[in-house]
Amino acid sequence: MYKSSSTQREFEILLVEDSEDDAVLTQYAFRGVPISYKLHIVGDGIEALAFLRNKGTYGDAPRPDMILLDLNMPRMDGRELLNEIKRDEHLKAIPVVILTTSSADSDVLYAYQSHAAAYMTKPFGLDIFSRNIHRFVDFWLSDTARLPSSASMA
Amino acid sequence: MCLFRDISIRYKITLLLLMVVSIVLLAVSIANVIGEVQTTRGSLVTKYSTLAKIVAAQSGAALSISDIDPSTAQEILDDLAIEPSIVYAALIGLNGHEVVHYPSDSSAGQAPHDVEDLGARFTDDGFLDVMQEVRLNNDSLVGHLYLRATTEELRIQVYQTILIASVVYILALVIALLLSFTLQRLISTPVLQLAELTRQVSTEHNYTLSAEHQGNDELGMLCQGFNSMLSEIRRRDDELMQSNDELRQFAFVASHDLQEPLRSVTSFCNMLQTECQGKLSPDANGYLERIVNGATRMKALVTDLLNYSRVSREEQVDFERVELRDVIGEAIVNLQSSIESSSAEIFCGELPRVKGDRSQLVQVIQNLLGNAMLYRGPRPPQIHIEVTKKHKYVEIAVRDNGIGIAPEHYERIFEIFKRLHNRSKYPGTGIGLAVCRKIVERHGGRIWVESQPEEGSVFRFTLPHDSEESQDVQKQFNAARI
Repeated sequence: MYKSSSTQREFEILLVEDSEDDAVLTQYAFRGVPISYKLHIVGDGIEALAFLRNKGTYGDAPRPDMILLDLNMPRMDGRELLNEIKRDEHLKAIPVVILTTSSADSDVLYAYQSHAAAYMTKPFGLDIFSRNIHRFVDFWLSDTARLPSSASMA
Repeated sequence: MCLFRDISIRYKITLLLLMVVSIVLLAVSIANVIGEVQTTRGSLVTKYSTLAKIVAAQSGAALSISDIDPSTAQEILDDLAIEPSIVYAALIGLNGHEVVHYPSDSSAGQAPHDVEDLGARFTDDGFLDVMQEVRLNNDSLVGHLYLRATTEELRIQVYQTILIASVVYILALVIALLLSFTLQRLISTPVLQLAELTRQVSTEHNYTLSAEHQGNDELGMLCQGFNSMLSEIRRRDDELMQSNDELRQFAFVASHDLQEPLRSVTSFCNMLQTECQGKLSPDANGYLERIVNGATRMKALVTDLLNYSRVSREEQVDFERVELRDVIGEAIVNLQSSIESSSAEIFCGELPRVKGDRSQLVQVIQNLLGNAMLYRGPRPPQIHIEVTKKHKYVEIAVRDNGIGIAPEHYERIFEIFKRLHNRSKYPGTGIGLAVCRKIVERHGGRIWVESQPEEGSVFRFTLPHDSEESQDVQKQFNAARI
């Protein structure tokens, strides 16, 4: 009962991505997933922190259930943002999934050592990307226990 | 001089000093002996001529009356006994006959008949003969005095001189030897140091060394020149390394960043294909297909370039011990789909353990196997991997039954971007074998091909042997079909 009521609530997903192309593609890949979700997009780490801390124009931003994070970005990149989130008592519970083109061992290692929840690479074809996103949603957002909402945490 | 060409400069200098010293000493000694002989001869002549004059002066009266009383003349001659080197003496009358002779018990008539030959003269048999006129009261000639002396004194003198010269010669040679051992260091030490340094620089490629030599002579200048050459090399090395680093960094970043827009191109084409399914003309769909194919090809190029720059970017590391069996196994797993689609068969012989970078070796095997399947003939690919152990390395051969390569292309195929075939017939980026060569060379080995068109190719490469390898770990992998 509890579970079904919570799955009815929209999933708030924050996509931190500097490339508009990639943002559009990710949105496209999310199409048709069997959950109700809302994808928020910010362009870099600074903006993401403002979103997470409800600063500036993000006063009404919801607390995301999941962060999809690109690694290579201007201003504050994904690595710095990941560290910042995991240092913040209020934010560190939010699962951060790395979504990047880099498949370098050093980046994968760094992400997991910095408590990333998962590491996904952006594939070359859109079909594969779409399939991967669907699989990801199936695993992370359908049957896996969901992060309690910020209200219930407080 | 060729004889001494290969000996150390240290011995050359010593030898040189000794040779100069001995030649000088020899010349001085010979001059000394000759001079000594001349002096001694001169003094002998003076001595016996004087003696002869004295005796002749005394014996004038005695000789004039010797017809009547020869005893006085004999007494005068007998007094010569005080000079033991006089072996014979005679007073000769005007008629040329000996009147008296000394020693009186010797046989008479030893004096020469030619009394006119006055003065002192050395004979061939080693005596000094003196002939002196005898006059009465310094006036009328009454006869001649003849003296014969041994030159024993001269001989002894010469022997002594030679003996002294020899002793001096040997002593001087010993001193010269000792001195030259010390002095040669002044020259040879910096030269030898420089030679050792040059050896270190050329064999160990250590350009951080420098020559130590104080002083402003030619050797000091040589050391300074050498040092400035080394620092110039270091400077150029640094510059070269820096620009190489920048270039590699550039290749890495460029090929990395190139992937991003390519992904966009492909992905949005995909999106267009999905979204506009049925709405586009067949031509338009074909164009979209071509865009995707082009981008995919470029993606392969960029990935291979990235690989290539990654191989050259990596610093020399300590290689680990790698089972060749695992390497080939991993490459086969990575190639599974092409193996299946081409119905290729891969056979392996006995596989040893080698020293190297595992992931790079996988890449080499994978590239070679991939090529063997790509450049296939009409028959399904059959690939044999054979390993031959040589003294210090192992030679790995990948033999296929593909289309083969003409001998004039043997070298070319290992160069980056060099392709022998049209892309539509055999796809590829022209980087694979260049990566193979780079990896093999980084392992201290070499790679080459043996092939004939239509008859298949054998790619061979060498790798360092794992010296600690024991026999028991070598398992038979005989003709295992994978």
